[in-house]
Amino acid sequence: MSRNNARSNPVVVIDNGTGFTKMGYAGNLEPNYIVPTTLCAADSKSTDKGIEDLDFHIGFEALNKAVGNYQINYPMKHGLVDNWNNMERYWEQCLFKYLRCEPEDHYVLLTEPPLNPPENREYTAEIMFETFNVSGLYIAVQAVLALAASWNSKKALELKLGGTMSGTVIDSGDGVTHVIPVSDGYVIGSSIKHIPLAGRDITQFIQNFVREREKNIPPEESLLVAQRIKEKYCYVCADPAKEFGKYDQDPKKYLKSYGQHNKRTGKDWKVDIAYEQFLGPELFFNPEIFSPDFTVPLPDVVDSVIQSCPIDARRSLYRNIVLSGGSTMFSHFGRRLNRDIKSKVDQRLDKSMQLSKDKVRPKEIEVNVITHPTQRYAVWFGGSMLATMPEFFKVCHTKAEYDEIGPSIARHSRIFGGGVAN
Amino acid sequence: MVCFLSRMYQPAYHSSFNNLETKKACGCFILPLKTKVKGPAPSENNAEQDDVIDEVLKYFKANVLFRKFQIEDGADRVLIYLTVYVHQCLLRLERKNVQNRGEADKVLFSLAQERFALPGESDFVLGGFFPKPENATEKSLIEGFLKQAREETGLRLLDKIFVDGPTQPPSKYWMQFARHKFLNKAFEN
Amino acid sequence: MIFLEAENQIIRETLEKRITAEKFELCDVSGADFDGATFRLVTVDDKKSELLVSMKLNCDEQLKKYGMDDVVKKAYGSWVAPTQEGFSVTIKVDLEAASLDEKLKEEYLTKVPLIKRYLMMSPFATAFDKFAASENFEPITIPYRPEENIYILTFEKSLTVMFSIKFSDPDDVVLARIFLSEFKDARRDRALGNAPSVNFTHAAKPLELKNIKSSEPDDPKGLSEFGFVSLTLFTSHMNEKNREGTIDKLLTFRNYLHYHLKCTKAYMHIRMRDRFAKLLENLEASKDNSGIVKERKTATGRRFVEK
Repeated sequence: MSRNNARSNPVVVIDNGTGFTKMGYAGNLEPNYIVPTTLCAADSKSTDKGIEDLDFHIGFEALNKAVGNYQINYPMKHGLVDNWNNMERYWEQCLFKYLRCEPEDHYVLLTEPPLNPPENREYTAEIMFETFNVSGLYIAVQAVLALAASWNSKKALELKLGGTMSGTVIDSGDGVTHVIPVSDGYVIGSSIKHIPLAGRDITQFIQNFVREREKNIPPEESLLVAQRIKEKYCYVCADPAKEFGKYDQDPKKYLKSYGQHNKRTGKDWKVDIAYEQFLGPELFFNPEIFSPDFTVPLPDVVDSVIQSCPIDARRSLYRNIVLSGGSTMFSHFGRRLNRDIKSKVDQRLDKSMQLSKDKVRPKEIEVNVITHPTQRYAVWFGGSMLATMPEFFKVCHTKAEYDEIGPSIARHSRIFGGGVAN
Repeated sequence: MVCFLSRMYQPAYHSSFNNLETKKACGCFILPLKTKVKGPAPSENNAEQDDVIDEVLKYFKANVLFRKFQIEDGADRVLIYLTVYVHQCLLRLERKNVQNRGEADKVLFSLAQERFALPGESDFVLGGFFPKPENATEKSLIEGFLKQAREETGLRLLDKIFVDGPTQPPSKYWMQFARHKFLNKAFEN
Repeated sequence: MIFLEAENQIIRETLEKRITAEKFELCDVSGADFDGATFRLVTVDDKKSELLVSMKLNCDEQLKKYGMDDVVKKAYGSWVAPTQEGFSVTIKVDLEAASLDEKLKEEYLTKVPLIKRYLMMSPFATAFDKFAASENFEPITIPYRPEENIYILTFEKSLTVMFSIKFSDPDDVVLARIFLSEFKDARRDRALGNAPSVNFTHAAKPLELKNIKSSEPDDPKGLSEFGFVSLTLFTSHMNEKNREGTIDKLLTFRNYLHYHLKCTKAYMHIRMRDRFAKLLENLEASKDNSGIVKERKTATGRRFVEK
């Protein structure tokens, strides 16, 4: 039976995000493909030849082919599927063109954002089982996968946090940053907070800041330059004013420069890189630098999220703060976050001691921020790891179950993998 | 759920002189300065000690990026005033397109000698932060102090801007801050 | 996208990324291809400038009988390395040499991703050669999938390639029948005169297989899940120029068929959703709102009260 056969084939792991889709086979450290979640199709009302629904491109090809009759479409908005027709077609090409797998021969792991309506899970299951005939499907919450991804990091192993299903996930990508508390594998939905600051804003800030000072960047390159600076040179400092001072004291050590050849004019140009190296990521800790609309620093948000959770969960949430997403990759990000959150927590404990006139000494709260090398694609990597566990096949929804019961089986995905502390 | 909390504490950098016992005028402390310029400020003889102007320059680039500033006491008012003045210096240097220290020296000297608005006057842009002077003595005290501080600040700023040498143009790492108004206030636009 | 490609995208992109990387790093990428094939790209023994690309096919034992190793050797020459454990073939890619030599890089990028084709090519090549030399040969069976086979045989003086295809979903069978009967009839179009002739039977073993031991069940119930497609090739398909193209298309035929079945279902879903949306619109428009009194409020929240 090709059902049993499917268990010997690697599991397909697809993480659809609003900006990028990460997909690949389980067992790998990194996704095999990271492509934009875009679809570019010809306007379907034109001719009715019969195969016009196959005339589309996805990912980077979509961005390249968006001319003339072809419209670009973003099937996902704010982490949720917005256009199911396009999403179905998007998956068609993901499976057959990029991953080159026959869906009948594989189990599939998909991800969903927290607070995903159960109807969406049903629609997803319908598409996967009816159209693609997958052998089995598991829909995992992204935050839980990010937690799983951190189990093998050095710090987690030291603190014996491997296998824990409780923690606070800080997921910062290109568009938005989420702080999501997870307790025993379940997301505490009412405590989730979104911060409208993420990678895109940091790039924009750097772009504006550098443009003020460097006059010789060709305008069409300024965004690329900003992105490059962000990815290669940025780091998180301990204190901005002291950092400014360090730059004045020792310019040779801190001032960098970056040059390129302009193909259009044939000339070489060079820019100096100075304060934006630490001011960019500083946005997380002092957002008012960038915009007056949002002024709460990230450590404060994390603290308030945890404080809004049930009181018995809080210690485990402080104990395991996990980072995920490309915008958390700055050097020393974890360290600064850890320091700031700990100082808030200690302040609160001191205040409570003061109010009780030193009669009550609260037990110290441990604050740990876990960083690990697979942070950038932590969600995908978590999925890849979970899909290689032997229990995975037991908790998947199989085609047989779907045929028997229907799409409602997808409303609930069983939690597994936890409780194995090293 | 988007976060609607406001910040619990102010991140900007404050003066360390807020606890000093000194003469006061219009809510400002008349702080000691390390300067040869004449004026009512007591002189700070210890060259190692930072005075308020050193603090202004040290915190300038960081402070202009913040949008709020909680005034703790009189020294902070001096800090605010001089920070806005530094911004005015940069703006003026940029406008006059100075190419070397000699030119810059002249520009800032004339800026320091210009008539400037005092607390209580209608064109004083920082009116919200400073109470009006109660009497003529206070008014002349604050005028003398601010004039002295302005001139000294201009001189020390030049040291920072022309760190590469007196014949070089001003450092672009300072000049770019001419675009950042502190607390959205400026003495000239 | 109408046709499935012959080359493996993941292998190609991984190679390209590694060759053009600034610094060589450890690599261990594994994945799967159609028909249960699995592959792996790995750096061994800390030699980061060398990448071993291996692939495993389930039917490699049978393929070896038809000269798989020779074909691979002919295609890849000195790049063939000792086969890694658990795989059918291993190719060694010298990243360092490729990063310096543009021509070598292009060669790697065109040939290595086609590894599956070269592995499976040998039975076809043998059959084509023997047919061209008018030799008779035993029907070739390739069990490329656990329950499905490719048969290459001569029947009435022409070379036929036959696929047995299992449809696990009864809906698929219905769609496949329509799809493949269209295939059959398409040859009537003059422009497609050069295409091989197609025959399709469902739930009954075709005559050609009468004398061959085949793994498909004989009972009618089991057979109802199977369809048999036979393509009769011309000599023009088998000559040196067209040979590789023909083999590519034959190898991906089953996947192509299933791909289009799934796209058909997706297309029907799209139309169903459109219809459903229109129906909802109509329902919404036909709602009778006359009895409902809408409560009106001012901006400050004071209500209007009907007296």
